[in-house]
Amino acid sequence: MQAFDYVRPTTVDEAVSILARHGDQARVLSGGTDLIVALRESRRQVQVVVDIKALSETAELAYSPQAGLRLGAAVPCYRIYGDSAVAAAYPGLIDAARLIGGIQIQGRASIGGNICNASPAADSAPALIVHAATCVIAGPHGRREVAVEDFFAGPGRTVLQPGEFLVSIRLPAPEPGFGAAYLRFTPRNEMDIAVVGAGASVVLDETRRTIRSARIALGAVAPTPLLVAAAGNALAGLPADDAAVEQAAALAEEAARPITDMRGTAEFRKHLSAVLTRRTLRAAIARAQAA
Amino acid sequence: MPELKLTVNGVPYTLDVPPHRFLAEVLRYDLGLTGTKIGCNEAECGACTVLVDGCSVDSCIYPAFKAQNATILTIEGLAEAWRQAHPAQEGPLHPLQEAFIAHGATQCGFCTPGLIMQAKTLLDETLEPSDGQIKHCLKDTYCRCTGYTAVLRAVRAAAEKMRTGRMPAPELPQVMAPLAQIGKPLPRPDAVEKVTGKAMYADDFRFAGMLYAAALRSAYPHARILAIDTQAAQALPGVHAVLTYRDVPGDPRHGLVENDWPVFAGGDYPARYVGDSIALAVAESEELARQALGLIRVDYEPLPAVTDPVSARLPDAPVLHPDRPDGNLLKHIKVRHGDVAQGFAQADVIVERTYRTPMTEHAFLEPECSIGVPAGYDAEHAKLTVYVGSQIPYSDRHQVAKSLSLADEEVRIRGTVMGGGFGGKEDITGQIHAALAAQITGRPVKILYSREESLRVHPKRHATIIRVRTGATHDGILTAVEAELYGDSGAYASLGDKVMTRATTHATGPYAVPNAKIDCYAMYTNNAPCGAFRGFGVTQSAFAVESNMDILARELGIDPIELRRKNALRVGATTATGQTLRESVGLLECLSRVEGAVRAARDDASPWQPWQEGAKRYAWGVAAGYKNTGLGGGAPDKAEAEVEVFPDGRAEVRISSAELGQNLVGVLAACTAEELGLPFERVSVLVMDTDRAPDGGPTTASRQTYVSGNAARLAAASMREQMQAVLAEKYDVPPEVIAFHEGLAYVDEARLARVRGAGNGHAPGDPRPAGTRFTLTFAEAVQALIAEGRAPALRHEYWAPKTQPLGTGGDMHFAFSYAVHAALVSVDAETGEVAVEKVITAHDVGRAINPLSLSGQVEGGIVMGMGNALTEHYIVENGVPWTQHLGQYKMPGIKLAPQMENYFVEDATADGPYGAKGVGEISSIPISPAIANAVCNAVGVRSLALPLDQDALLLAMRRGAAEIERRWGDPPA
Ligand SMILES: Cc1cc2nc3c(=O)[nH]c(=O)nc-3n(C[C@H](O)[C@H](O)[C@H](O)COP(=O)(O)OP(=O)(O)OC[C@H]3O[C@@H](n4cnc5c(N)ncnc54)[C@H](O)[C@@H]3O)c2cc1C
Ligand code: FES
Ligand code: FES
Repeated sequence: MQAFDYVRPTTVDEAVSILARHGDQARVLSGGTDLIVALRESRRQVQVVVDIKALSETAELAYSPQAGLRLGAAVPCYRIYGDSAVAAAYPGLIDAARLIGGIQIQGRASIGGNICNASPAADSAPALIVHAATCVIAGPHGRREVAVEDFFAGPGRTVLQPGEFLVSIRLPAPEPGFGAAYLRFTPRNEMDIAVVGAGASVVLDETRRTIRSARIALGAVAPTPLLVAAAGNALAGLPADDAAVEQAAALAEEAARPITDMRGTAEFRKHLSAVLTRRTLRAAIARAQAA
Repeated sequence: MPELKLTVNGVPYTLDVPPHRFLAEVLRYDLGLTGTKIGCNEAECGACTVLVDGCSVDSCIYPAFKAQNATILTIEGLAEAWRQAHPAQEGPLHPLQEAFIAHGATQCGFCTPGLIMQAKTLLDETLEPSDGQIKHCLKDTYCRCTGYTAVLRAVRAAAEKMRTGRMPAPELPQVMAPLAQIGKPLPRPDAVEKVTGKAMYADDFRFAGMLYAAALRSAYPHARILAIDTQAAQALPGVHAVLTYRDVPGDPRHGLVENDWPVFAGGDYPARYVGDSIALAVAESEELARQALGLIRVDYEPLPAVTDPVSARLPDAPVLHPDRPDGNLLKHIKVRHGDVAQGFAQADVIVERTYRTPMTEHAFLEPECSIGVPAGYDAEHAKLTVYVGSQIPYSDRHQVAKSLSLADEEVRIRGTVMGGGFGGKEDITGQIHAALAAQITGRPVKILYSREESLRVHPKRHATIIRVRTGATHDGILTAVEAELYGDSGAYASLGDKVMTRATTHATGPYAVPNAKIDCYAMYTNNAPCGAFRGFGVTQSAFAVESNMDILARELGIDPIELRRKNALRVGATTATGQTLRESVGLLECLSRVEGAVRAARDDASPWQPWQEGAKRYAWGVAAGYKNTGLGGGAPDKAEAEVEVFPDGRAEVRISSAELGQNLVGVLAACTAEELGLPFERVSVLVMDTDRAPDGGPTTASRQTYVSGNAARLAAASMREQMQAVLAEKYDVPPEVIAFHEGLAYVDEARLARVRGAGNGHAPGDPRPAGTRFTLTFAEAVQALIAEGRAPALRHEYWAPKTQPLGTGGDMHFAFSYAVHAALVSVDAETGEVAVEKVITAHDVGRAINPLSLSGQVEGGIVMGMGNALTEHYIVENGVPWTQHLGQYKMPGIKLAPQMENYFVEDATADGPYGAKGVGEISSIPISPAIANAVCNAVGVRSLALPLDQDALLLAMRRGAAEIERRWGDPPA
């Protein structure tokens, strides 16, 4: 493997200036479960690895029922599902965090790294999208925020500009009657990359029978994780029943634009988009009703 | 270099290491804590798991500097940490370590440190873990040997011990009453070393002045090599040598059967697959060696490549080995039995299908490693020595010597502990290169394959295309089988001819078939060579045969077990190769055991009927199989063992057979202990050392328990007879009345009475009083032997019963093992996802010498066969592997481990040690077709190719198609 330098800045500004100075020769290191493997397999070449785990903001996991969740970009998965208040408030995110890799991976892997890696199959992306999360980005020109669904630019590419990095992810506080879930399909073994992933969230009314609003998102069926706005919009105002679920599933299938590769054909993936949407939406509704 | 401070197992260290060093490397190579293993270097296998501040990580991708000021616990420190925290508990080991030993959860042991460290994190949280929690905890920690059943058992047992202070005994299948040692679930002799991280695998050895070498691999699957420029590489500081074909002093080629595999491609030898080596860089570090490879310039002339066995047989196909007589044909194998035309004329139903099986990868967790130490390096290394984990040490010795132009005796192979083999460590990989590099540089040289290199280079399981035509009468009696097989043998012969011969001779299944005509074409192609892999060809043909049997059962309306029973081989039956079976055919009993258990589980008169729960369809499916024990086919099959007894009351058995995880060492110790009447722990075993242990032959063909077991047993028995003779003389009793038991030698009164009748214990008429009888310790008996001037060591060469070559009739094999597997699968009707929920199996193994390790062989084989059916495929596109990383090879993790209910049938074979025959392979054979049959029972779709494509399965279900030809990994349509 190619040699690299390792730096560990302690402030956001310091990190930004290192990144700005080295351009594409520098790469942010969070948990390293993507980056190091890519370096080892010579899929990536860098000179400087910038560890962001020492920054207080990227290591922060702060939740309040009013303000919602500030999830530092470097917080590893196990800390997320290990926090019972967070686990109760963001069940879709928790589904994803428990799925990413094995336990040894989850001890390191961050949600920030998962979305910055920008795999179309990243498990946390559909989950974050249905939680209406936004990315907090720091760069040479200060800070900006973008919705998670707008964060991706293509396979392996994000909207981050030179010198910029992801500081944290903000998830709004769940409304009463909220429920969410994430499911993926990996038939060949547990360690496989999702052939299709689907996330769903709903807000039900006081009776818990009617859907007030909903969000549906898919992974691995397009060059980027996909918010299926049409499905979410169609669900608003419908009774939370099978017919609504079927309608959303059909819209999700329609929105999916998958490719054929070694892990599945386009036809199969389109079909699975509907199946998984159905299942994940049912789970989200059940959670909302149980809450 | 920056400074790294950390505390490992309670010891503080300050180290200077480069910034791109990883924790696994620091632990293993800087601190010498080699208990932490590296299986992949890509965070896939979990073998490198350690705890950093209590949290488990894959240390292979953990930058060492992230551990600045951290506290690290590795397998070496686990027991001590436990003892400090629990001074009141007894026992020197952590309960997980103890449980892994007692429950047989360590075989090759390479995964063990990772599994134990990872499982510890769960037991830190709960002492009542559910199976679901254990599976979640270990989902990213692979084991290729155990099938995970024993691992689950062990983690539960450790938790129980931590809760209650008592270690539960393993629940194992029932076996016949044990002898003193035989038939007991004795823990493996090397288990403590394996669970504490002390076991020394090849990469764990280091020598002063050691260099590192790495090989440049061909960029093309087929290319002439016009020029190799190594100048720039040689000029790189720290590089000691760059070797090519010009540097091989002896035979430029090697091979187990055919001498066709160049030590280096180049000169007369083109590169014939992408794993061929072209040059070897030897340098101060592995990193430098790999850097040097990047500086080598090779001029290739790419040649057209042939990448499937059917095209390889076409007249205009590019020819790989122009010096061979029949183009790309490695071997045409024929079985002729009776008259198939007549057989099919008698048939009321004929079933014909063409099946395909995938090329698969052994994925032993320990990548190949060889270390060459030059002759005269130190007192211990007077000879050129190669340290390697190899399945055939004596063959390595011969092949190394031949290429280095040395006599066999000038080379020593010292086997190290091996992290699995499964057939994949029979051929030469780095042995010749390491020896050559050591000889040329005069320094020890290590060659450690990266996982990518391992995937690219070593021989695989043959991909096959098998057309089978089976005929039967209305009442289900088989009348004829006709089959045609194509085997992709890849670039070099390896054991391809033998493997495909086994596929061919087993292509009628374990049935009496009066008429058979089978043709097999083992073909050279520009894919990776294919050779031995657990199941040895029979895995492939069993899938075809047993699928046809189920189709036949359905067409005839006969229960699938009944159809098999009607035709099952039994004593008196004749196989398609003309061998009449005289004994030890436990197939019928296997069938009835499994049938009974499936009916009991299903509680149903028609156990194969599907049922539905939610989106899932369930059904059971069944298949039978058999597998030869031993080389057979007329090959001389022998092993030599040396037994030595010591005046302190111990014994040692020495034999250069390979211990690759299967617990041959335990079998050899048990056989020796049984014959010498010693407690098992007092027998040590030395394997795999060509200077100190005689040749046990290859560890292949499920032969070692039988052949080496017999050699050890008979050597020990002659040693006992020698001691009996000495004591008989000394104490004036007939030798046969002297018993050796539990570490004592004494006159057995019952035997004496039988020999002499009642009396004073001496010969009739002997006036001496009783009282010259004696009880000695084993140590005293040995001392008496030595005092008599007799040698305390002796050798016995065991020759297995003679066999006949294929085509000559008679006994082609001296024993067969049989098995019946039933699998319960679920198929998600909305996604096509297939899961194996439970398996019920019965294995006829002759005799269960050690039910604990036997269970391990069975459980591990089943899960491996499951992978073969559902997930495993070494995918190659036009001669270039798509499967380049371990993450791309989908083998079963613990989450896929099914429930198991296993039965042992002990239909003894007369010549086997205590009746035993082989089990290493049969356990992995019938499971694949059993799963395919179960899927068909569940959803009405039959897969004609493996691994089953769940995508294609779903599409077929939705379209109402009855059969699928696609398999996972086929190029998109
Ligand atoms: C064995 C194994 C199994 C896996 N299984 C899964 C799985 O099931 N599902 C799944 O989705 N993924 C999986 N992954 C991929 C990976 O673990 C996840 O994507 C993980 O969440 C990445 O997080 P990380 O903190 O390790 O990222 P890193 O490897 O540190 O970073 C990933 C990439 O993002 C960049 N980056 C990281 N943080 C930032 C930041 N704050 N700002 C800008 N750029 C940044 C890095 O430079 C790098 O290119 C698996 C990986 C392995 C090795
Ligand atoms: S996971 Fe680290 S060596 Fe395999
Ligand atoms: S014992 Fe687990 S890999 Fe061998």
